[in-house]
Amino acid sequence: MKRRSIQFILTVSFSLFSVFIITIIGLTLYSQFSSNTKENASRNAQQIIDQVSYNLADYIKSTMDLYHMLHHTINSSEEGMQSDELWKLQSMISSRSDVVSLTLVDLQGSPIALLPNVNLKESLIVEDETWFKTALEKDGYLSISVPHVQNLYSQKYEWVVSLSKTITFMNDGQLEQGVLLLDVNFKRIQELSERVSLGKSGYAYIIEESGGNIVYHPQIEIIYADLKQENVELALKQTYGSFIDQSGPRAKMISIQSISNVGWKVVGISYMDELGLTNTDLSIALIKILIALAIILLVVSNLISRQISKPIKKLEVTMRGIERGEFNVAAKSDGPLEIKNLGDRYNIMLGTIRTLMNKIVSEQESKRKYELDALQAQINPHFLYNTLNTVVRMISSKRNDDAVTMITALSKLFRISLSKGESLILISEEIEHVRNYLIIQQMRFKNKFDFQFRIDERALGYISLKLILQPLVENALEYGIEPSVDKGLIEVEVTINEKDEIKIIVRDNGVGIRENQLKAINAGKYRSSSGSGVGMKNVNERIKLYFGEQYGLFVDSELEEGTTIYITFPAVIQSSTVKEEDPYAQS
Amino acid sequence: MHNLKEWSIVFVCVLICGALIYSAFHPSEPDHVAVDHQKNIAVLLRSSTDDYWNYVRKGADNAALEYDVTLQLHFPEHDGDVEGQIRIANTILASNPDAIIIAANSDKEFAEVLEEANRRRIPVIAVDSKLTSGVTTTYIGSDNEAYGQEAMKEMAKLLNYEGNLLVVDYMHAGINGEAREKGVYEELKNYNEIEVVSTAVCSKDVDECKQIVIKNLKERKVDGILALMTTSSISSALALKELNASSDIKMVGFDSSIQLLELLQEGQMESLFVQNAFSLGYLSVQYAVQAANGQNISTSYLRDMTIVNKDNMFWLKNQKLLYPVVQ
Repeated sequence: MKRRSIQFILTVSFSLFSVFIITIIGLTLYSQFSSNTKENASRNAQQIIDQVSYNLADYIKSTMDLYHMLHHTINSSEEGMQSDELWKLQSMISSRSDVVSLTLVDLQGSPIALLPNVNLKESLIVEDETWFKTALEKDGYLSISVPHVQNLYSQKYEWVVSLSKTITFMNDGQLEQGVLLLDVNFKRIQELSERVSLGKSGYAYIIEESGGNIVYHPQIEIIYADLKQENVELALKQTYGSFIDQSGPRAKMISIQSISNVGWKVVGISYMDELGLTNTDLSIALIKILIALAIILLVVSNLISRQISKPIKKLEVTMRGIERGEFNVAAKSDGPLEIKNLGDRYNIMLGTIRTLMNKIVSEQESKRKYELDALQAQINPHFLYNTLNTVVRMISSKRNDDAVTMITALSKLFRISLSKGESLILISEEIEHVRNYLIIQQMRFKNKFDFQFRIDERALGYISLKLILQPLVENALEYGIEPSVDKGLIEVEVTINEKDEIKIIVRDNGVGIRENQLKAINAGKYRSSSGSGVGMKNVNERIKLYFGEQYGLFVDSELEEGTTIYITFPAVIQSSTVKEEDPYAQS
Repeated sequence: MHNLKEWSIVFVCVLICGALIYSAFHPSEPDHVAVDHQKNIAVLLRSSTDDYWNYVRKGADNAALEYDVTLQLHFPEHDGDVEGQIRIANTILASNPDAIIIAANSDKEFAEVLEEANRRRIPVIAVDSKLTSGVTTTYIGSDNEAYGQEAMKEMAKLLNYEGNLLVVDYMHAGINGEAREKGVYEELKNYNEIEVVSTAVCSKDVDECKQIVIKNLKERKVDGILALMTTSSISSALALKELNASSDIKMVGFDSSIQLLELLQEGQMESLFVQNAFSLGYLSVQYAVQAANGQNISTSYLRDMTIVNKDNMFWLKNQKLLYPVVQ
C-alpha cells in the first residue's frame, strides 16, 4: 500500500468532512429558504390581491350607494320625472366619470327617463334585454350583470356593467312600477386592477363566479379574441388563497380573493421565475457558493496541514544531515509545540552524541600520547647503559676529567629530560639538552664527529616540545655518521622567520638516506625493524598533535652527502592555558 | 520558483472563489431585450380608415406589445390602390425589416415584391388576402372561396332554393372579393332554381353604390342580395332600407362595422359573415416574430368566419367578436 503523507491525509479528510457538513447545512438552508420565500411571495401576492379586491368591493359598494341614492331621489319625487328631477339625477351621476347612462323604464319597457338624453335604438325591445329580465326575476333586489355590450342607444355600443332593480316611482300623479338601470364602464375597475405589482409582468384579472366569464383582464381584447386563455377552472374551484399553476410554459402563482358584494373574484397572476422562486436560480447560486467554500476549504486545509507537516519535513532534512556527518546543524525550534519538543529532544540527543564523540576522540589522543611517552622512556635505559659503560672505562683508564665531564653532561641531560614531568620546555633548554647529549656521544665515539650550533637568540625564549632534537641527532649519529668513514659533522640551526615560525634544522654529512626510503619517511609510512624512522615519525606526530597538521618535520637527503631535517612549529610563549590542556599535567 | 507557483495557485483559487460568490449574489438576469435586439416588423395594410383595418391594426399593436417588437405601419392612400401599395412595399423592402406583413390589394402585381423579399430572405406574412404570385412564409386569413360557397349556401336556404339573385361586388374587391365570387358561382351550380339576374359593382362611395343597387332592384325582380364586401354590404342594406324592401328581399353580407351591425339589428339583412379582424392582426405579428426568429411555422393559418344574424348577435360570444372592447 502506498503511504500517504500527513499533509495529504489532513487536507483530504478535512476538506471532505467540511464539504459534507457544508452540503448538509446548504441543503437545510436551501429548503428552509425556498419554502420561506415561497410563503413570503404567496403572502405578498395575496395581500396585493386582497387589497385590490377590497378596493373593488369599495368601488362596487359606492356604485351601489349611488344607485340607491338615485333610487331614493326618484322614489321621493312626487310630481314624477320633471325636468328639475332629471337635473338632480344628472348632477348626481355627472360626478362619476364611470357612469355611462341612467335609464328608467316602466314594466312595459317604455322609457320614462334617459340620462344622458340620447336616442334609443329603433329596433330595441326592452323586454328582451337581460338586465330587464333579471330585474323582474329578482324583484326588489339589485342585480349586477356581467360585462356586456349595452344595446340601448343607436350608434353606440359600449361595454358596461349594468345595475338594475325594480322600483316604484310617481308618474303623472300615479304610483308606477318600473326598472331603474345604471350602466357603468370599466374605467375605475381597470384603474383599480392595474394598480398591482406582481413581479415584473404579473397582473390581476377579475372573473365572475357563477359563469366563469372574465369581467376584466388587462389583455381583454386578446382574451376575447380567444388568442389567450386563462386557467379559469382553478380560480373558480378555489375561493381564497394562493396556488401554484404548473400547467403553462411558465409556472405561475395564482392568488384568489372574492369580492363578496358582487360575486366576482380577483385573480392575481405572478410568475414564479420573477418572484425568484424558480429553484434553478437559487440552487445555482447555492452550488456556486458551495464550490467556492470547497475551494477555500481545500486551500485552507492545505495550508493548515502544511503548517503541521512542514516542521516535520524540516526536521527530517536536518536529520538527513546527520547521516552525512553534519553534527553541528541543530534542528530549528519552530512549528507546533509537539514538533518543537521533538526538535528540542533531538537537539539534546545530538549534543549528547557530540559530547560522547569528543570524549572518544580525546581518549584516543591521550592514548597515543601515552604510547609516545612510553617510547620516549624506552630510549633512555639503552643510552644510559652505554654512557655509564663509557664512564666506567674512563675511570678505569684514569681519565678522570673526561669522566667528570661526561657525568656532568649526563646529569644535565637527565635534569632537562625529567624537567618536572612537563612535556613542553624552552627552546634554550632543548638546545642545552641536545648539546649535552652530543657531548656524551662525542666522548663515546672518540671524536668521530664534530658538532656546531647556529642559534638565533630570539628563538630561545619560545617553547618547544621536549626531546624532539635528541632522537633526530641520535638517528643522524647512528645511521649517518657511524657508517661513514669520514669524520662527521652535525649542525643544529635554530631560526625564527617572519611568519613567527620556529625553524630548526638538523644537518649531518653522513651517508644519507636512499630515495625510496626518504619518500616513505616524508609520507610518515616508514617503519623499519631497527627503528631508524621511528624516532623521526614520533617527533613529527607529536609536533602535529600539539601544534596542528600544517607543522611538522621534513627530511631532505642525498646519498654520501648527508641528511637535513627541517622542523617547523609556531613560535609560542609558554602560558598557563597550554599547560592546562596538557594531558601529561593532568595524569 | 516553488513559492511563486504556490502563491499563483492560491491567487487563482481566490479569484475563482470571488467570481463564484459574486455571481451567486448577483444572478445575471437573462435580458431578452438585450440578447436579441428588438425585431422590426413592417406592416402594409390595405386601408387606414375602415373599422375592419382598425381592428387589424389594434390586434397587431397588442401583439407588438406582447412580443416586444417595433411595428412600422404603412397603408396606401385609399383601399384598392395597388400601385401605392407596391411603391410602399419597395420602400419597406429597402429598409430590410425582420419580417413584413402584407395585406395585398392585388395578387399578380406583388410578384416582384415577393421575389425581392425572398432574395433578401425577409419572411413575408400574407394577412387577410392570400398571395399566390410568389413565395410567402404563411397566410393568415379565411378561406374566402369556401366562405363564398357558404354565403351562397346561406342565401339558398334563405331563398328556399329558388329565386333571383343580385350579387353586389366591390370595384376594389381584390383577392378576397375574387375568391368569394368564385366560391359563390361554384356553389350556385348546385341550385338550379336560383339565378343571378344581375351583378352590381360598387365604388367606395356608399351613396353611389346604394343608387346602383336601387336601380338594379327597380329594374328587375330580385329575391336576394349577396354582398361580398363591406361597402357593398352597407350600400345594399341601406338600399333595402330606403326601398323598405327588407322583408321581401333577403340579404347576406360580409364583414362587420357598427353601421352594418345596426342594420343587421334593424333586420335590413339576414346574415353577416364576420371574421375576427383583431386576431388577424395579432396572429400576423405573432407569426411574423416567429418567422423572424427562424422558427418553423405553417404555410397557412386559416381563420373561421362566424355567421351572425339578428338573433345571435348579442350572444356574449358574438358580442366579443363584433364589438371590440375600447379601453
